[in-house]
Amino acid sequence: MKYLTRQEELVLLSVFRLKENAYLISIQEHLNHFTGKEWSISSVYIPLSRLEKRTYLKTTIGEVTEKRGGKAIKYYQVTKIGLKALAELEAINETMWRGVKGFVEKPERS
Amino acid sequence: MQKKPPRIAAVILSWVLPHKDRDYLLGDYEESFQRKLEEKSALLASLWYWGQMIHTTPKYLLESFYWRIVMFRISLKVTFRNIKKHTIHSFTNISGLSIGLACSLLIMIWVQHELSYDRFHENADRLYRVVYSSDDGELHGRYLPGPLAAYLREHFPEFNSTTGFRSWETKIAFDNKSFPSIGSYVDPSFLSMFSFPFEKGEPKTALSNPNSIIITKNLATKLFGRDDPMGKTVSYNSGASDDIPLTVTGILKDIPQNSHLQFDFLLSFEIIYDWMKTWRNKNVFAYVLLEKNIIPEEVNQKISGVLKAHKYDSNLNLHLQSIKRVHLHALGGGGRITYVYTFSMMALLVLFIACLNFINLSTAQSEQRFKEIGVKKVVGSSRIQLVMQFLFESMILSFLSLLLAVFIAVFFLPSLNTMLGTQIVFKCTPNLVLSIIGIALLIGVVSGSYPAFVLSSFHPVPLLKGNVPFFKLHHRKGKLTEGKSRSPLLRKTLVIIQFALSVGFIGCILFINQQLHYMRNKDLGFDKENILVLRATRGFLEKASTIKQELLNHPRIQSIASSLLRIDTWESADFSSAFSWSGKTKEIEGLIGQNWVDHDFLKTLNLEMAEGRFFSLEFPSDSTGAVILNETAVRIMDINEPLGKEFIFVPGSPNERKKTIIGVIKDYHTESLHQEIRPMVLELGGGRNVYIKIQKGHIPETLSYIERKIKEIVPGEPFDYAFFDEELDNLYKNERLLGHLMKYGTLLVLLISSVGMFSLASFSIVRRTKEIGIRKLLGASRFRIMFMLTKDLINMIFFSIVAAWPIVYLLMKKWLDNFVYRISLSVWIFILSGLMAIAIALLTVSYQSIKAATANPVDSLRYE
Repeated sequence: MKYLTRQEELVLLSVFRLKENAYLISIQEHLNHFTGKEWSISSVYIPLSRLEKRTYLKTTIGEVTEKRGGKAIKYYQVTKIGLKALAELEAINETMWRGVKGFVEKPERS
Repeated sequence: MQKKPPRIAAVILSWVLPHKDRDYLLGDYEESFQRKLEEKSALLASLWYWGQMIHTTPKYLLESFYWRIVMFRISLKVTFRNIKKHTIHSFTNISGLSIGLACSLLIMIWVQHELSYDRFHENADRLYRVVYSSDDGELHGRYLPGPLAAYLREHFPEFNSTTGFRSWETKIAFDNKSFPSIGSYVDPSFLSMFSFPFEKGEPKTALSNPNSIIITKNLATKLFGRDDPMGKTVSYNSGASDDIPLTVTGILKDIPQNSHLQFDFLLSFEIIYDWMKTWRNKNVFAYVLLEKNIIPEEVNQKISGVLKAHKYDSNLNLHLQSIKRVHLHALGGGGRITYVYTFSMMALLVLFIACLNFINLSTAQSEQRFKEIGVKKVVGSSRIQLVMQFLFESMILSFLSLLLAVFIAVFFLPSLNTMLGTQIVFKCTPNLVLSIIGIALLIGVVSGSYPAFVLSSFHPVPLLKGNVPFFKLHHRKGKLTEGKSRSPLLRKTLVIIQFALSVGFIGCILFINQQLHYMRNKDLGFDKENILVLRATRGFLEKASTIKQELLNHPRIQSIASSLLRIDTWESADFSSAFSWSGKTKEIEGLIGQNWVDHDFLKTLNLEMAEGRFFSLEFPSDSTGAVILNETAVRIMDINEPLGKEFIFVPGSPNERKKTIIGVIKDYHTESLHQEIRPMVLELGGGRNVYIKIQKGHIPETLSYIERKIKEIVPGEPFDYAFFDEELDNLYKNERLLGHLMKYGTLLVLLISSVGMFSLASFSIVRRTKEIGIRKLLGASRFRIMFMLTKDLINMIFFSIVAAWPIVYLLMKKWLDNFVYRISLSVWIFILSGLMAIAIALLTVSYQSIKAATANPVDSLRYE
């Protein structure tokens, strides 16, 4: 498995957590909320498109709404390969973080 | 109504967004925008949208670039595989193009050099040279009276500053070391008008003292070595008086090569010869710096009458010539600029031919890739992708050729420099780099577009069947139609154009060579072989009779003569005068040229008399009262028996002189063959042009004898000599240069087009291998097959010849119009050029056609 970048990892996790409602804006808000940083649309989209190319994500085209200027919506969903990748990621994270937890001071949530 | 995001930003955004997700992303942006609208003001939302656009654009571009690189690597791989697979054809293709590119690159460098002349002066836009032309526009000149520059400065407020300029070959000495060098007399303002950079010294004051001298670095090193020359005193001898001590007040960096003003040192104009300071003589250049925002045409009107106002015996009008035009534009039209045009044109043609070749070959080559295209199409490659692939390949090839071309150009630049007598260095200016990259891109796109667009449009099925002969593939309105068995029109046209150009080049070079040969061998009326020409210096002239006596002692030196003015160029222009004669019956327009020659002039140059006698020592009165006319003069004057008649110079003026005509000399050419023989009058005298006739076959040893003797009698004087025939040849320097470059141009064009033809022929023969095998089996003779293979070619060449002839005719007629004495445009040369083209073409394809025609049909039928 090729390693994911941190952004890709976060985006993949967001898509997974958002379940059916994962599209660009919702992912962006999700990330903004949990990381406490402003994610721009492009900084969400680029990891998304790379994940899609790696077939970690699949897409479905949704409805056309007025507030989107008559443009369709694109929903993302984690594929089986994506799930597998997530699982591997978790395992790696777990191993790597083992024994480190608690030694590092947690930054204050803003 | 619902608020929309700013339109322009949305449009730009839609350009940069990745194609496949564009609509969704636009939707996402709009949704965010609408949310911002709800929370904040419309203005802030719009600003946010703009901000997003600016902020994200580079990211998206980078992202798409990432995938481009991946594609790039794949395309590169495919391209190199193709190059490798068709090694010979890729090689001919690339080499043809790179030769063409190198040639045009060199010419581009040269043209750039020529155009850069005199542009380095800060005030180049306002600097002008004062020149004159006669009322009828026939006569043009740049030598003007010495006081003119000062006069213009004092009387016309339009001039910011003016300077006289006169170069003189002189000697400058320091510490017993002396070097012949070129000094220029200038006004102090010269240094502020022109931007010749100083190494040492203060430009504002360097020449304010008339006893100052400014030397170039080159001369400084020669004279002073490593010492600091500033403030040192050198002695200067103009030849008119004793040595003048001058103080070095400045050192100039060496004069750039692209300056039409060339000198080794600068002197104050005040110490110029007295005779140059009068309005009567025209010997000095005048340069002016206009005030800002002055229109030169208006100044022209004001100054045009200045010479007439000074009662200078002429009809000459002054006007200004921009310094930027001095190098390239001759007064009265023409000049080097015609060569700049000619060679730019030639560069374009060579490049054009090379491109045609490249297009032809890439096309032919890509036709062998039907299967590849077919497969790609079947697996779902879009047409755009195929087009891109082909364009990319031709781009890679053209850039490879460009790279090679740069190497070739750098390699050949020294030889070009020798040929043109220049010292151009290869400088990578941004302009040059950009333009050559532009050219390579253009060639890549143009030559790749035929295979890219045409081949990618074919239907995949017949392509995949493989053995569909190309001739039957004709694409019309998206359908596949079966046409007659013929190669595509496009390719035929390209070959015809290419060959027409070759024929054109051959024709032109043949005519140019013929004219050059004619000029070299034309009987000019005087001998030019085995004659040595010396330009006597003042010291030489003082001892002239001793030198002559000493030299004539040598058995191989047959005779020595001298004339004041050169007899082979129209130096007499400044010495022409109005004239009359006794018994004059009709008015004569125009002037007569004068020259002063000595007694041995006739004998040395082997001139002939038509009537009467030449100057002779037996008639002492010759030196004051006798003239000799040439036949042209007699014809113009229309006198029956000129001998004994009175000839009057400048009738009616205080300078009127009356002399007796003692003879008529047979016409000899008074200047280059561009011009007609002019009326001449010779008086007894002589001067700085010394002609020494040496016995044939004994030149080297006699030459060293002459040098030794002269060094003995007048030590320290430079010994500059030339052979008369070579000097005469120099009159046609430009023509020879043209011939030279045309020769190389022709060679290149022929080379490129033969390479192309060779390649094309091999392609078409490979395609017809089976056909040839079957024909042979059915009993076709070898000759028949060769005929069949070359028939098409001959047809095309025939077309090209017919197309080329009229163009050659027109071009050469125009060129030959420059010469009064010229060859006629004979039919034979036209025919010869055609035959040569045919011969070259046949030679090129003969190898392959013979090989194909003699091949064993069994082999060719088994070929797959």
